[in-house]
Parts: sequence; C-alpha cells; structure tokens
Amino acid sequence: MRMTKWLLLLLLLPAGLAGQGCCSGGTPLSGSLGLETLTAKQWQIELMLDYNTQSTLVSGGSKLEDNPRNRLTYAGLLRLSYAFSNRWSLTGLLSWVRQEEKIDRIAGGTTTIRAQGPGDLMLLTQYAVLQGKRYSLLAGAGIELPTGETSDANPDTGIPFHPDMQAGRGAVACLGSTLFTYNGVLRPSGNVFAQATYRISSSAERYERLQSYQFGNELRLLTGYSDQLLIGEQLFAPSLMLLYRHTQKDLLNGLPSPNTGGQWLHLRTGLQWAVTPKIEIRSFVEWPLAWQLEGTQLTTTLRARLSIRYQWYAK
Amino acid sequence: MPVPAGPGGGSGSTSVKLIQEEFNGIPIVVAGSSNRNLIVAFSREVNGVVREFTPVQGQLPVIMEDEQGNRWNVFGKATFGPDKGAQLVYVNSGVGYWFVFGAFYPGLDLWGIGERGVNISPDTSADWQIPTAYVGQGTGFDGIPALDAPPFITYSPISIDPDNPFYMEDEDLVIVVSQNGETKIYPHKILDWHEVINDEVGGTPVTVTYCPLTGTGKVWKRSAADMDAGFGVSGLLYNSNLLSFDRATESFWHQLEATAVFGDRMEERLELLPFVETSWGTWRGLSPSPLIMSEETGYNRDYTDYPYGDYKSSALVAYPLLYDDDRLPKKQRVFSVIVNGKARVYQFSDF
Repeated sequence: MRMTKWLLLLLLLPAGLAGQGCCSGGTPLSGSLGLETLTAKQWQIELMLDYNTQSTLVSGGSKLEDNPRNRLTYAGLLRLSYAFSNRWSLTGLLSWVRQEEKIDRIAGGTTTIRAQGPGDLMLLTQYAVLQGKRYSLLAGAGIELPTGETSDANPDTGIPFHPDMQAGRGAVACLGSTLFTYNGVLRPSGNVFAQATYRISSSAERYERLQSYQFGNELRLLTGYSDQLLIGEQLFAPSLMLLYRHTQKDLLNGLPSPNTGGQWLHLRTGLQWAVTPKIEIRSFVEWPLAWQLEGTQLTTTLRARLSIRYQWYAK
Repeated sequence: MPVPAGPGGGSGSTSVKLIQEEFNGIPIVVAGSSNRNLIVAFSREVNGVVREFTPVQGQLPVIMEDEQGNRWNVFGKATFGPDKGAQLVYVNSGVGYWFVFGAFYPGLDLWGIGERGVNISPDTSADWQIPTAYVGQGTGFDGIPALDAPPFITYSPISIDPDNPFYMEDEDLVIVVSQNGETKIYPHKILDWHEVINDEVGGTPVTVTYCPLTGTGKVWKRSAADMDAGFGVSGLLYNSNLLSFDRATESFWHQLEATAVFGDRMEERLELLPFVETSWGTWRGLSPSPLIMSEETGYNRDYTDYPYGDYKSSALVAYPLLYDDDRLPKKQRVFSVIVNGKARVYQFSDF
C-alpha cells in the first residue's frame, strides 16, 4: 500500500522542483478558481462552503500518532464569472474564513482558539487558447489582493494569531493556470482533464513591520476523469481526481522558515448534479494519499466542499 | 577519577578555567571548560564571606577549591573539606543563543568587551509585564505537549542492544539536575519536542524548561501552588523565547527570569535551581551509571530527528526581537549570568 502511494507520488513529481506551509491551511483561494469553458455572455454565480480538517501530524513522510491538535478551516466563497466572448472571461472570488484550532489538554478537556474574518479577493481572467470538437485548452492569469483580515488576535491575551491562522494573507499573490480537457474518453460523455496552477506570493509585513513573512510559492497539478450519468431524469457527473501540491518553504525576513513546505498527493472524488439547466449542486471530498513534508507539520486529514451554482445568459 | 575524553575533539581547552569578579554588586565565580562544553556560575559568598577559588584540573565533576580547602563540584556543592555538604548560591545563569540575551537585556555586558549604549523603553500594558509587540503566538496551550514524570533509565554501555542503538550521541547536549543526592539527565533531543518537563529530583519538585528557538534551559522549583498541576507550553513566545503557563491559573511565565508576566500570578517569582548543561559524552564519562530520560515518553516522536530543520545554523529568528545586538552571530551559543535585570555574557572561547 505504502509502495503504491510512493509510486504515485514519484510519477507525479516534476523534476527540479524547489520546495511550502507550516500548518498548510489558510484561505483555499488558489484551489477554488477552477478554469472552465464558458460561452459568450454567460454569467455564473457560485456559493461554495469549504471544510478542511487538519489533525494529521507529519514529520517528513511519517505520521505521528498522538497529535493533540486539530486545525479546522471553514470557508464561504462567492464566485462570480462573466464571459465577454467564447474565449475571454473574468472571474472574481470573495471569501470569508473561520479557522479553529482545537487542542486536547494534558489535564483533560479541549481548548479552542478561533480566528475569522474576510479573506482575500481574487480576480482571474481566462482565455480559451484551443477550442476543438474533442478538446480544449484554457489559460488563466489571476491576482490575489490582500483585502482579508490579517491582525485577528486572541481575545484573552490580545496577541495576534500566527499568519497561517489569519483569514487573509496580507500580501499580493499572482497565479497562472492552464487546463486541458479531452472529451469522449471511454464513453462519449467521459473526459479527462489536467490542470496546472502556479501561485507566487509577495511578502507581508507583520508585528508592526518588524518582520516580513512570505508564504511559499505553490504548484498544484490536478488530473482526473469525469463522466455524465443520467439517472432517471437527473443528470449527474461523478469524477475522480488526483491532486499533487508542492509548496516552497515560507520565508521569514527572507530566510526559509522551518516546518514549512513540502509535497502532498491527494485523492479527490467529486459529484455534480444538474438540478435544472441553470442550477447545479457540486461537491467533492479529498483525502491525502501521501506526503513528504519539510520538518513537522499539521496537515490535511479531510477536505470537503459543497457548492451551488446558478448560471444564465445576458441578453 | 580519570577525566573522560571530550566529545567532538574541538580546539578548546579541556582544563577548567575560573573567572572571579563582581557583577551588578554580586561576587561571582564562573567556571568552565570549553572543550567539555560546560560552564557554571555561582555566588562566591558563603555565610557572608567572599571566597577565593582556584580551579581543580582532571577531577570533574569537581571544578574548584577554595582557600579553606573545600572542593566544589559543578552543581556548587562542597564534596570535600570542612564545609562538605554546603551549597554555593546559584546565580541565574545558563547557555543560550546570543540573540536572546541581546534582546532581553539590550546593550548587555559582553565579557572582555563591555556594554553597548542602548536606551530602549518598550511600551507595556497593565495586563502584561512585558511588551506585547514582541510576543508571538505559535500554537495554543499544550499544542506542544509537556511531559509529566517521564520514565528514566540507568545507562550502561554494555546493556545497549547493538541492533537498537541508544538514541543519544556523545555530542548531544543535556541538562543535568542534581538535588539531594539524585542526579537526572534531560536531553535536548527530548526537550526540543516537549520544552517543559515536570518531574521530581531527589524529592524536589522541579520543572525543567528548554526553548529550542533560543537554546536556553532553566530549572524551576515548583511552588506549592504548582506542586501537582505543573507547567505546560503556552504556544506564546516573547523575544522568540518560551512562555510557559502554570496549569493552576494559566498565568504565563518568563523562562529566563522564572517570573509570571501575565495572569493571576503576575509578578510572582519561582526559585531557580542550579543545573549543568553539557554534552552527553562529557557527562557519561563522569558518572558510572547515569540516570537519563528514556525515549519511551509515551509520545510517538523520533527523538533522533531535530524538529526545526537547519534552524541551529541559520540566521533565522522566528519572532521579533526587542533589540537585535549584532556584536556576535545570532546563533552563537554563549553563557549568560543574569543579576537583578542585568546580564553579562561569556563566550565559550573565554574558557
């Protein structure tokens, strides 16, 4: 089993990658901006609820069994997209993030610390590079603006939480993404897809500008297969995906921060339900398959999302 | 007793050197051997009289002799002479990374060089004894689990299973605490992962604290209020240094000064106990059957794995410092003596 995990990880390892995140939670923005084919004058609005529990303590590639901590991230995300033409579209993403860290106390009981607030704003422009009958290639470029809360503090002590507990990252980030889709695989309605996203972060000032903190740059590779099934009169689209994520170490005053950065391989299963031609309900659940992390980090145990999407055309 | 071979084969001296002087009104003796990775400090005042010491070579753990013929060991205990059994007063002292002493005591006295003129008056609040601008939150209470009464083993090289090598290497640093005839060894390797250990040594309730981000160890004598509950790791750091909390009131405690800086017990002070920090190779040569912590702590940790990557050798400091003193490299291990809010730092090369 372990062998299989590592084989999968190796197969997906791009050569020459450098190295991310202490507690790898944070606002799930870059993983929420999926590219997708839109047609001219199409509007989409989607409300997403994202849940991420991090109760797995990992040292390097080994799981430590007696972790007292559980980091829970609840995020509400609102996405609005508009296609100016069959090739060009623009997407905006707003978020609200709540993070909790529950710690099992040695003397018994549990302590919970909570941070919450508006997350950062992300804007993405998308261009359809290739549009064939059976394939498409989309490319996108985006910017993350530091509109989120970065100074939420513990109410008992007045001390600000660590940057990875804050709803916002406090820094401008840029991302580039590309998605290739090939239709008609195995079945006429089946398709395979692969998406690569790279996110580069600038540094943020904290502790009254005494320190700069820069989250590590991040690469995400998502590949999978999806199909459409008509059950009764309802149209469902199940999917199975592999997500590889690699982040460099965070930088503190320009120096690599210990216990940040690493590689993750996750399995994601998704299901979409076209309730009506205009309304879709979408969901996915994601589990870690393998990791190789820098130092000791709390990492994802389970992630899940439920969203509802409404789409229409401008006249 | 023969002097054991020094670990690492460094270029420092294996002989004991003494520095006897007055610091901030207190007559002190600082005794050390750089190649043994060992420096200790005590008040020279015994029963109101200031003693003069001479170093004793080749007799570790005995390090010095006074003019009355008493021989004193590394814990400041008279092991021979008319005052046999007497105890020198421990002066708040210990090893740590240079940057932390520079941050806590701006402009401190660097032995052989002197003080630096620094005038800093940080803001404090009514709730805190320390400036909160230099306090950072890593995790929460018990996010790093402290240990309570951990198991110990009596080390014997012949009992080590060759297929399961002992987790300690000769160059690994240890904190050695001796009380009422019992001596216990607390390795940095375990303290790196737990930071606070509540234990008893010779019937004395002690809390051994170690901050891996500042490389500082201190041993506190638990008060009656903390006797049963003990201390834990708060997840907060001041000047990048561990703030512990007492489990009884959840007040925060400053590691170096053993004083509460926030909470119901603010300004209360605990007694600091003498300890020796040295390398395992040095100490196991001094004791025929050393009592050292077992790595079976009840936690699933690989204690041979240092949890902070290249932190020891990098210039990285994880949280903001009140003052960044650049006279020495940030992570240089130095020995500090702290008296009434002032500090003097000695380099290992001074010994």
